[in-house]
Amino acid sequence: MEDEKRPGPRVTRRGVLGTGLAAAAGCAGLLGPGFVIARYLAPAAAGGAAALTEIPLDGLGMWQAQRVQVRGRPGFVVRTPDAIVGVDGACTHLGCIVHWQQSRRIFFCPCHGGRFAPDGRVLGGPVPGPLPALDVTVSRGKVVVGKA
Amino acid sequence: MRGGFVLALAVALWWVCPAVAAEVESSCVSCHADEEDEELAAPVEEWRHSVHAEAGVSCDGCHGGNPFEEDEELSMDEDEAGFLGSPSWREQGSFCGSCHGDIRDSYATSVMASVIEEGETVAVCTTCHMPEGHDIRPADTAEILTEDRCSECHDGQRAVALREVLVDLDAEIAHAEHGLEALRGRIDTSSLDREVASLRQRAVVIAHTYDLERISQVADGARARLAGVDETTEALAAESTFRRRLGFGVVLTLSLTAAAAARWKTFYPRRTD
Amino acid sequence: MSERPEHADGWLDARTGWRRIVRSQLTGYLLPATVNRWYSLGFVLLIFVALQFLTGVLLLIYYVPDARFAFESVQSIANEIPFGWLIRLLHVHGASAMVVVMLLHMLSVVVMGSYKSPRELHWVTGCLLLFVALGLCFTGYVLPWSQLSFWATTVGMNLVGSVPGIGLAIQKAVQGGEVVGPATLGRTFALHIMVLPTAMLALIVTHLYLVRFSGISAPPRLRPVVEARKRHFFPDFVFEDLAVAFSVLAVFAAVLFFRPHLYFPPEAFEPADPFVTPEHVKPEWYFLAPYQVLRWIPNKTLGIALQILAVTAIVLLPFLDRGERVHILRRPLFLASLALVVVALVALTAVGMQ
Repeated sequence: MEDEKRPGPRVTRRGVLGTGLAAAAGCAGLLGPGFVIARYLAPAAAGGAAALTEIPLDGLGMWQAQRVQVRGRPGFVVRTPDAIVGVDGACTHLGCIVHWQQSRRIFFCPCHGGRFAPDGRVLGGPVPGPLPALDVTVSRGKVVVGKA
Repeated sequence: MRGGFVLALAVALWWVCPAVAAEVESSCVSCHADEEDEELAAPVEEWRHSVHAEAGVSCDGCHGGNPFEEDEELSMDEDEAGFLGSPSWREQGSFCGSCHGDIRDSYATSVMASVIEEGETVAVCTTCHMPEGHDIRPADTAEILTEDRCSECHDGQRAVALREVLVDLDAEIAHAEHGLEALRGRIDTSSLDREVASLRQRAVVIAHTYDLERISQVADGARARLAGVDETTEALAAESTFRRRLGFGVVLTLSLTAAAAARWKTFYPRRTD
Repeated sequence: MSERPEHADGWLDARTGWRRIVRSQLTGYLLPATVNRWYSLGFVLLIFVALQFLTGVLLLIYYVPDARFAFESVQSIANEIPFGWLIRLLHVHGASAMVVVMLLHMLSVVVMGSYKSPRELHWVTGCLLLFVALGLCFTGYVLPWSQLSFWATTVGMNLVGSVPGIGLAIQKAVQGGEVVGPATLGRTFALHIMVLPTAMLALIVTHLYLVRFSGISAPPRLRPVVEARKRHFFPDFVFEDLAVAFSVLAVFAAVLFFRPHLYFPPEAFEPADPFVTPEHVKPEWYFLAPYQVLRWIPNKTLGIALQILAVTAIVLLPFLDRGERVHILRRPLFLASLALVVVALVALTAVGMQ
């Protein structure tokens, strides 16, 4: 423990200033490479994934659901007596893709038993919130899902 | 010291061993160059300046024969050495076309090719490309499609019209090539290079139909694609400039950092011990 | 100890002993004051190795090791992904720079006689590091699956195959078949990504351990003097190392940005075609000298055997050269043969380039 009692390096003003400058320069020097790597790694903007999906209306029977892909994410379109509704397919609990159970008329999550109504409302299970709705418009015999 | 000897020995062996592999010269060239008869000797010297010599295509590439055979008779034996000699003007299409197949096929669809079968005298490969001798060079449209040459058989105005379209297209392709050449070695232009090369090839091929309508059609299509090429070339040039500027910045920063590190004592707290 | 308040670093020190490491490896690590700038090349090499690892991992994110997609994926890195061109050029230029600095490092060690007893193993591990680096270069050459990759690899693999005895077995194992083909890509990929980098790291650790174990050598003096003066590794040599490293990096960046295609002949931009050999197939510059020798020596096996002999002699240099004298000017014969080797290598490379 002898050498721990040695006087430490004398701190001078110039020294502090210099060390600070060097540290600042070092941080600035890391910014450039950091920016390059961040840009390199940034995932390509949903390239190729269609923003709009069309399905024929007559293929969709009452209380039937059809799987669709909107902006690279899975979703469902369901025909109910009131309307044709679209919801995002990923369970809000932990992201598993829900199943449409036509007999029970619910979306059921196979992972932890989350249950949703056709319009995405929570019916039960450990889910924190409803399935987000998708924009659905019907025109000339076609169901268009997603926003242009 | 022994290590030194071993190294010296190894190097000496490396140095001394080279077996000089002299390139074997074709017997066609060596014999014909010494021919007394100027007509038999001249092609050798002319050929040396040709695009064929540059591409490594020697006499036998067109005329057949065995360039490794020293004996005069054997080297030019039709059966033994596959000697072809000089083609008659009607055989030229298949003669030159054995390599330039796409041009042969294009020429075959032309009016000239159709009347050659009827025994008419028409322009063949050598008429334009080998007017003087064997020093065949890549052709310059403006020099080949002259009023003089074509008006020997045709209405000279037809040649002028053809030439205009082809020379224009040629200039536009050359412009695109020039733009890409300026970027060579600085940025990857390979896909554009391929596109322009294919356009040039297509222009050359279609020119040999001598069909003004078809040529104009192809030229219009090529122009549209060249516009796209020019646009991409400009984007690449801008990217290349950005990279050079970035390079200046990086080199400068690294140099300054090196200089600062070398003078570290001016900013590092001084030791007391 | 008990008078001091328990700071976070004190807590950590009690559990890791990091202060002792800093003292023994940095602030208290003393080196001969005469150690010169050439000694910084080892540090520069560590930087280049780190650069290769970092850029290698980044390339790995987008690279597809499948003969059907490899070329396309590299083209996309080079031309589409933001700054992909820079990452790729850093990796490609970095590989060559690493070999250049390795050769300079070796040259300085030879000139200063640092390989002599008790540092024979430093030299041997250093040589092994060079071979692993060349192996990384060679296997890395395959991955873009361009015409250049394909045919340089074909030539290289056939050279390996003509090594007497084991050559053919190695060639077939690495090729994964009779000729270079899609199977080769998977094998060279595994070598390039896992096997050789791991070997390199292990060798670097060994090399550094040996350097610390024996202590760094001092440059020889013509007249023996008592070298009592020592300097601290930190900060003295660390900053000098940094100065050298950044100077080398500045030159490296200048080459990279202003001669980006230095290592890219036209064949590098063509996808591999197993049926068309390009007109000029040439290995990368660091293989040109041995390649040129093989072209000159008419018998392939003799050529290979000679090269193996020469390489073995180089690896075993400290065991062959056991003389007491260290200073190069006191060893004229050694100096002459060294100069001959360097001139021969440079000349062979220059001839090979034409």
